[in-house]
Amino acid sequence: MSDTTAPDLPNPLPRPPGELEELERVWRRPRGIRRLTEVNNSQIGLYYIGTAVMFFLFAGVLALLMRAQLALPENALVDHDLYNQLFTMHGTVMMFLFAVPAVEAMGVLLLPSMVAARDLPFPRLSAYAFWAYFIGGTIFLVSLFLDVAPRAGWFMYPPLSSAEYTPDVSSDFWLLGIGFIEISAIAGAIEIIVGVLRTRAPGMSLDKMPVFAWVMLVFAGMIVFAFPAMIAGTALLELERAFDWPFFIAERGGDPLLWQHLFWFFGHPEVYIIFLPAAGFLSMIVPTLARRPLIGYRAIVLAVIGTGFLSFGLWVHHMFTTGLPAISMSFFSAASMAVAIPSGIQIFAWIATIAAGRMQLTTPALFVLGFLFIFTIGGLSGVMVAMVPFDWQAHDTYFIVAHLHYVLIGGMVFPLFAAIYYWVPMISRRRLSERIGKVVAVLLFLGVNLAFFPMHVSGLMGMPRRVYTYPDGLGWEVTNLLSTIGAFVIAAGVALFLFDLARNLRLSTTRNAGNVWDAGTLEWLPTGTYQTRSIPIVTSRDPLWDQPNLAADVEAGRYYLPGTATGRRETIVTSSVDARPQYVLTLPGPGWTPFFSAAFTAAAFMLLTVKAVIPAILCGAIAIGGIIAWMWRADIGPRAPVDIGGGLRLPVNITGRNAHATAGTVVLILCAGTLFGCLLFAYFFLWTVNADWPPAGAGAPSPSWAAIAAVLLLAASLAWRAGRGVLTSHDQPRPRLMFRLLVLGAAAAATAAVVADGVSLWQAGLRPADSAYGAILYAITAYQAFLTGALIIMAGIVFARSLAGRIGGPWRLSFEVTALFGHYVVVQGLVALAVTRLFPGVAS
Amino acid sequence: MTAVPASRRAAAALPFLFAGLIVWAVRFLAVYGFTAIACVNGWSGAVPVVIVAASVVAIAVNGVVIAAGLRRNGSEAGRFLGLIAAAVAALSIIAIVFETLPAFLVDACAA
Ligand code: HEM
Ligand SMILES: [Cu+2]
Repeated sequence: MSDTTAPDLPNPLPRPPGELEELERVWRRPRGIRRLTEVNNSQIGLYYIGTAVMFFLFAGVLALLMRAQLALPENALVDHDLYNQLFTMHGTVMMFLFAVPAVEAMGVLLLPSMVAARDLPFPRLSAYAFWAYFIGGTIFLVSLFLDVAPRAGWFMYPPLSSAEYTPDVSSDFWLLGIGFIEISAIAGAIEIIVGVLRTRAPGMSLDKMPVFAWVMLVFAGMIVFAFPAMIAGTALLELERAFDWPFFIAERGGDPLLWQHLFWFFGHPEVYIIFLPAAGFLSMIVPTLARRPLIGYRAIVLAVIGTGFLSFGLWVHHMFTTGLPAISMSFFSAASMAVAIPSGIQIFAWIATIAAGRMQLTTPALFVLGFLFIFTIGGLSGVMVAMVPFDWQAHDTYFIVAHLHYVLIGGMVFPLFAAIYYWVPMISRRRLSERIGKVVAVLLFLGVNLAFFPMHVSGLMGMPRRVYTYPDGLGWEVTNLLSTIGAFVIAAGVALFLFDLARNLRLSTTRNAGNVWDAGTLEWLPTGTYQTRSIPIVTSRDPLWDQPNLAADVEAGRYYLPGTATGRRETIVTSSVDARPQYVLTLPGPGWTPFFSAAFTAAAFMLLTVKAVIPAILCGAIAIGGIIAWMWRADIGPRAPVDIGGGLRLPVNITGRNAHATAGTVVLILCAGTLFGCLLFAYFFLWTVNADWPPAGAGAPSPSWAAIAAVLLLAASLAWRAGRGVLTSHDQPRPRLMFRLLVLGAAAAATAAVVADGVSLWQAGLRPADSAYGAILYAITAYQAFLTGALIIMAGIVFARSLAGRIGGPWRLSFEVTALFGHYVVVQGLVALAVTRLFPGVAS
Repeated sequence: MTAVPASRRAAAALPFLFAGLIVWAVRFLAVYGFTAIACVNGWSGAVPVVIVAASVVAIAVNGVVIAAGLRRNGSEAGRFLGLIAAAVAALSIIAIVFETLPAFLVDACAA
């Protein structure tokens, strides 16, 4: 590896004339209405964070309405039905439309420049995710004004949320709206995982990766494993509401606790999904402000990974009052305490860094200190509620409301404000005002403590949560009035922050205020729309501190890829551990497909809520058409190798194991597999709650059908393999017809298998509405059918590409991705058959 | 700086990094699932035995991961990877011990 002395730099000066202009041309941002077509992550990141802040304001206004109502006993500002909608919408919007998207947005915004990539590998996916979120979220908010907002609490427990007790469409809004937004979060997560692993600057090996990149990697990994549980839960509940499949109805073998399991399997990690990136902000901000490298980098990496995993072992601690076996509850109580260890490690590392350096009390520093205080209180009350007996007391009181806001506001809102004040100079011509910022920090700090500390007391005095009013004379008056005053102090702080933004935020990529904090990481390199002029070689964790003259050399174009090598948008793909350059990946430019596909996907989901099935199907079809158009142009095939400087000649757009699309598909398969795992969990869970499994009188699907399905699945797998062999064979001319037949045959076999499976259920006399047993069997088959449908579309594209001569020889990435997914569909189908057909009823 | 060709080893790096906690997760799910089934069927006596056995196996596997991680050499990044993998496995041993203690303290299937 070369060092940093000037003569070794890959590209000589002066740079040829026109090189920079060419780079600017390919990365030029569309103007006017065509802004909607931009797919560049830095631009999308801005839209994304702006939208998240808007949703925060909206949910904040709802909170103020609630606090105004609760200021005085027996107040009549808001009636109980509206109050139910307010707290449900406030909690839902804060958690799903603000907290997760806000941190995901910061990832999308910061990561490309932090790892010095021109862009992350799937820009259109990010654009799609953003627009889906923006449009879907906005429609979701509108429900409040039409009096159809969900009102069963942010965790939507059945039976309250089920058809019997909420017959109107309000729960459907929640289930379809939020389920849909989860899908968009997953899309963003795929982008982040592959981006962090594969587009880091040369030399930025895992041990030199900024903590924020580690954090976003774990964050995105957690989304991949947590969100499918939520999607499974919402899908089952929606199936129950729409078609009366009784997953959660006890009389027909269902169990409302199943929802709680699925919800909290997602919901507890969700807290850490929100908290980890926020901690990542701090690990970037604290060293800069303390003017020294972070102490305990390795310990923090360990803590981040540990938290990510261990937080999945905690879901039942939200269910201590539901009567589970004592020993199961004690696992979770123990795990709740174990997870405190990694959080503690991070806090100690920050404190040590602050203590060892010289921290100036800038605005971000004030927010960091506020975080330390508030989050610690939240952690302490958290340890209290992790004790099973204490939780029995505090459950469903204002003590919990206080705890969760201390954790969420301390752990996420304060770090986010610190991050905004810290990173605005990177995107704006002017930094935000230090003077105003300090006042904002003080107001928020006082307001939060005034609003939420008294709630602990209200809770211990017995005030339940989610009540729209309370009678005079229970001693709850003073604490409630204080809470309301505190809420308005917070609002004043937020208003002042908006004023600061209006005064000072002037977006600009090329003429931003720049490295005002004198920070050490790469996002502070001078940038244009193409990010950095050339892509640096990294030899340190804080390159701008340790590699002299780096910024100037990068900007002069002396490092890798100082222009565009292929005449398109492109970035360097590096190996995941050592970050050695592997190939140049061309990236898509602006286009309408992500925007339109997202708009019509959102429309399809929202039309389903109001049971407009035909228009929903139409919109869905248009969305799929858009995605097909997008896939059609996605795989442009390998190009001639190019020079990126320093004598390094890299291939352009490779196929196979190392290709970015393969990595993305693997992540997608992990997601699909987790969702499937959740359905299997549901199957086994329902089995344990039913004395008879299968229930008496339920028919047994014939084993011969299952055997046929299994054989078909295996045949599909073989056909995928054979297709690959034909495609890569050296025979000239290549047997194209054979290839096409194999692709169609593989898709047809997978389809026939799932049809055979469905027919066998029906022939056995099973009906999904009869019992939870039938319902879960049909649900598993329906999921298999859904994936098979996706596979048919992918296979269709491969087939059409073959007809159009857009596939063959080394140009085969779209086939490889399809075949990989095809194999997964086979595996899942076989596991489903084994579990549901081989041994029903063995356990009891 | 040189370009590198495709490698299988790179694909295995991440699973190795997380191996300790993957073991933790498998043990957790196995024990949780077994307890649920056992308590329905009234085999409460078997629960503590199975828990302890599962923990012993999981801790042993994690010991192997720790050894492999500490032995890993090569590039600076490779050693870092090994060290973190070992630490991750050590952390999961702590978590497993924590989650095994209830087997000695709590009556398994009491509600
Ligand atoms: C900024 C100031 C905030 C105020 C004044 C506030 C106030 C409130 C109030 C009054 C409730 C209803 C309590 C009840 O009736 O049970 C509530 C519930 C809730 N809040 Fe906030 N909140 C704030 C910020 C946040 C933030 C930043 C988040 C999350 C990131 C959040 C998440 C929640 C959740 C999840 C609930 C529970 C909703 C439910 O019971 O279904 N809040 N909040
Ligand atoms: Cu939790």
